[in-house]
Amino acid sequence: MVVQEQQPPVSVPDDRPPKWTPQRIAVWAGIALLGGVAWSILALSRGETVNAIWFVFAALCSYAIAYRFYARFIVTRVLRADDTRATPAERLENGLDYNRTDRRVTYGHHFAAIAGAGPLVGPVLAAQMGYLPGTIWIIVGVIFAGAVQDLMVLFFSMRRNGRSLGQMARQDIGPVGGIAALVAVLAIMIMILAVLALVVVNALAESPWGVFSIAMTIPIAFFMGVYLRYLRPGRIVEVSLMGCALLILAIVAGGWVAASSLAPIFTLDKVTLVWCLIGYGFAASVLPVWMLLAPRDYLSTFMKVGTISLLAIGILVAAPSTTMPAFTDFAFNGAGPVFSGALFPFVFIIIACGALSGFHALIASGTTPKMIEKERQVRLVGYGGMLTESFVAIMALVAACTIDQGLYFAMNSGAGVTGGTAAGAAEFVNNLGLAGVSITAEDLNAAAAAVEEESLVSRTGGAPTLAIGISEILSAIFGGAGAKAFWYHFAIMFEALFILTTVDAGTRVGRFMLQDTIGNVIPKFKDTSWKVGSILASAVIVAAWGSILLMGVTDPLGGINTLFPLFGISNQLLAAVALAVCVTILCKTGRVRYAWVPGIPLVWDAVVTLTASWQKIFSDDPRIGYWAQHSQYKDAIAAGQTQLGPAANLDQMEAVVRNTFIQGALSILFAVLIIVILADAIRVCVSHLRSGRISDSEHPHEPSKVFAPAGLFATAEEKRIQQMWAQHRPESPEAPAVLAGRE
Amino acid sequence: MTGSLDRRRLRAQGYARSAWSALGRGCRLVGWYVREVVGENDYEHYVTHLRRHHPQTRPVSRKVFERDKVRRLETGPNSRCC
Repeated sequence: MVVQEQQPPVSVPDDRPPKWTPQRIAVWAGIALLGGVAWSILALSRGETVNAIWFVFAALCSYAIAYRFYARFIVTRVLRADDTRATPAERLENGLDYNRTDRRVTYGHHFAAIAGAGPLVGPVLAAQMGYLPGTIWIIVGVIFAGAVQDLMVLFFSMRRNGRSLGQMARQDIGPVGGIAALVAVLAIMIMILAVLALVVVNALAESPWGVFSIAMTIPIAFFMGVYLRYLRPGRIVEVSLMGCALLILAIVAGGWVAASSLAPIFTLDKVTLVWCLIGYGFAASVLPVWMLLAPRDYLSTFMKVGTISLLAIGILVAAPSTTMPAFTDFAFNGAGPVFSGALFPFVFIIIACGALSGFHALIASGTTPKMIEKERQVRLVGYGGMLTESFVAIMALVAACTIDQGLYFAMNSGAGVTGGTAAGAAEFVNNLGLAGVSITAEDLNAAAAAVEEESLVSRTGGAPTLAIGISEILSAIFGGAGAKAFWYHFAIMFEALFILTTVDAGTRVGRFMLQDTIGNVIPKFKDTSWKVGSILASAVIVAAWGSILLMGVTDPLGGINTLFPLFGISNQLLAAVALAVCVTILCKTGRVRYAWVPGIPLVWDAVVTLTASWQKIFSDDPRIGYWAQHSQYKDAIAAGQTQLGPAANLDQMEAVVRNTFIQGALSILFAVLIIVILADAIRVCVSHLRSGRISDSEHPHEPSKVFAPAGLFATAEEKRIQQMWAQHRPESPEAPAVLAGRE
Repeated sequence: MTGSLDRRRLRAQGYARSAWSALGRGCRLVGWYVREVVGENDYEHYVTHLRRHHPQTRPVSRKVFERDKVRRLETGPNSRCC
């Protein structure tokens, strides 16, 4: 008989917050004070410029307080995370997808998956209302809505063995809510792909430099794929570094190509680019993933993290000042040229991902819950990951608010109003009635020449504006004015690269969802190795987003102006689904007194989304309401008019009639879906509260047999327990040697 | 006089050495972190897992493992956010 040696503790036995020593009180008082000062400067300054540093302080201090107090409250009181419970990664560990992973690695992995183009583009567009509305919503929204959603969905999915959002909706709300959620996910995915692709098209149109650099990513990815498959399997880091070096070379070479006789080959108009993207999206979805999708994903992850870090350093070192006021008139009169509609509800719709993103719920209920080692780590991964994303959005907002206001509006107003010429844009912007804004055609041409582009007028979509902001900030530190063109195209490349990665992956994910759905009727479609089925499903998905993209590109009113609100509405709708699932689970498990935690953001989100949908559907103002615009143009055609507003001829007027019909119909679809899901969730909550029944769909408690710290840094108590484990199981491979020396 | 100089030089060398080793440790840490996040160490984790829980099963080769990983990605791609 071997006497079982007693196992060291698997959780910190007495998990009370650390004692309030005088130093600790001083530190938190200092953080609160600094944050308060930063917020006051942002909120109270009128007519003078604000240094970007204050945005950084306001954000970081608010995040620190929220992470320390609110997130801790949610994890311990609301969710009751329990480290004595084995996570799916421990119970189901298989060395493949269920893997106990170091918490810092899980955090990096999760952040890389949730960070995309949304938090970069949305804040740039929202800057038309001034810096303050965007800043407040990005910071307050993430603390009370976005990070709460990510954290709770991650936790609930983890307690249910990593179930997806759709499965949780079906199981915890019911079949009607479940089906509505499935349809919503698919519709939203298509909407998001179309609008993101539109951003890329607008950034690359008529830009031989940009088109050449982006085209080169295809052979680079192919090289990486071959290397990983045949030469040195699995050596991702070395091949990604080679890929990044080749990418930088491609950006530099883009400048040579743009200046050479090859330039006309790479100068493509928007419609040609759309067809290239559609072909590319289809190919990427049916080709083996090792060829294109997987290596591009590595490349884009490296570029993403690298560029975001570079931008953070840039903002801290260059410390630029804002030119945008706290509020512009567009915040109140809803007549902004970038997107129409007043501050409420449209700022919340446009900013989307940086403050609250429903899309994250798909990630938080996918790969991440299968990696979490201990339950309390969800605070770092879920809440902390989203705070980081929000910080990216703040940096994008700062970059947009530091460029010249006249240039900002000239770039972001549609070609229908600027006429697409520098002179037209200067006249339009100067007549907007913005205080202190006057720009000349020469200024606009000089700005375009500085980044070696033909023109910057009406480069809508946010990506080119952000690229100008990034190039201003980075060239101030690295390379001076001569490097502006390089940094501009570097930024364009980085945005286009990860938007295209999202398009690749999204088309594929959408294809499997569709195959799964059709498979319920025609079982053969469920077989994902069936070539005909996969090609058909891919074609349907690509056609769906491709047609919306084509519609946006040819829209006489400017595609971003009309489509971006729909993108925001669909994303916020998905967030409502996720939050409704969270509220329902709390009500069903007898925790209704904490239902306000996801409940407040849910009510807010539903009010915002439904108000925006209401205005888009029922507004009499043709600039806002799709149907009002639809009938305005229809009546005009019936009355024999051949020209109305930005539509210069009958063809364009008919295009407006067609587009507004599709956009209006999509608005109705999204609004109906959200109402169905909310109604079903309320029904389930009320029936449980009335009967007092408790039903829980989570996996029962199984004791954990491992230990790991919860936060980013191990506490003294956690280090002590780690040491006990090291002695108990000296050959323990958990802690890599390199880390053992450090902790 | 010379003794204190020697001591000072020794101390300076000591600082330099510990700064170097701290730098080295930092680099190794970053290298480990990056490899973990992108999944380069997945194969090692898989082998460790088999050795610990199923010692009688022989792990497949790295090449085969990486191919299987890609094949899983074919049907369940990582979704990337907007």
